[in-house]
Amino acid sequence: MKVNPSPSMKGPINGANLTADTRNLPWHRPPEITDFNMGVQRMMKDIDEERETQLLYSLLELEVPVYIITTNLLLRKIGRGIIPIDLAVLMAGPVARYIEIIARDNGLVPDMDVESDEEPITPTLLQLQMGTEEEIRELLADGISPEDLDSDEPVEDTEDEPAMGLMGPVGDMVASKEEQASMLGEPAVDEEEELV
Amino acid sequence: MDFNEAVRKSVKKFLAGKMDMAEISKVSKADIVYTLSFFDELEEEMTDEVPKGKKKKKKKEMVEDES
Repeated sequence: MKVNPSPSMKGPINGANLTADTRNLPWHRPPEITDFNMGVQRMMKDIDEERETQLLYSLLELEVPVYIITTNLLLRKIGRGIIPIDLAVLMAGPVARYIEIIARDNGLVPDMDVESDEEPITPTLLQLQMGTEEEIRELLADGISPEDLDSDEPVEDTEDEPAMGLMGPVGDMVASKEEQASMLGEPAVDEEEELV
Repeated sequence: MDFNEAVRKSVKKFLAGKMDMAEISKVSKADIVYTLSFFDELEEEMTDEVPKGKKKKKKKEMVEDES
């Protein structure tokens, strides 16, 4: 007879999935709206409510980008089980445009920048994040941009050392002939005797 | 890609007029109403709209002045 191993303390409790009540979470139920037009209409209607409008104007005055406001509005609807996630992504464009229109109508200048603000990954940026290159920090403090540092020519090898593998000798640690001979079990031979 | 990034890309596409109509038509029972042209018209309507309240006030003011 097969005996079950003792349960790990880190693992899930056996049968927990059968006893936990997860049916009541809004995003586990079918969403209220699955139609694109109805979804956008509902969003526009909700934005026009007084409380939502106050929040919207406050965020716009704080110069929060419109796409971030849109994300938050959509996430709240998803969390309440009103719209599914895929529909929310499709609705993002019309909702953002509507927010832009409202903002302009009220004399606000919305931040419609949707370009990614992520910096390009460069060797200098990585070194700075790793905190290894103090010299680079000093150069940057002097006003030299990371682009200028990265655009420099590749660093040439200062020493003309032959390329060696992992098993190659390290630096000048080469054994003398006598030492090599003793390691090989050969009798030590003096150079003078050899000459004779 | 997180949700924030997906929304950003979706907004960018919509504003550039590159809306994926085929994908939207899958989740739309009727014709798509809320297109970029719809919002352009809405914006024109809202900007052209003269505040009605001000007109009425002016009329009232004129009546008061006459009296």
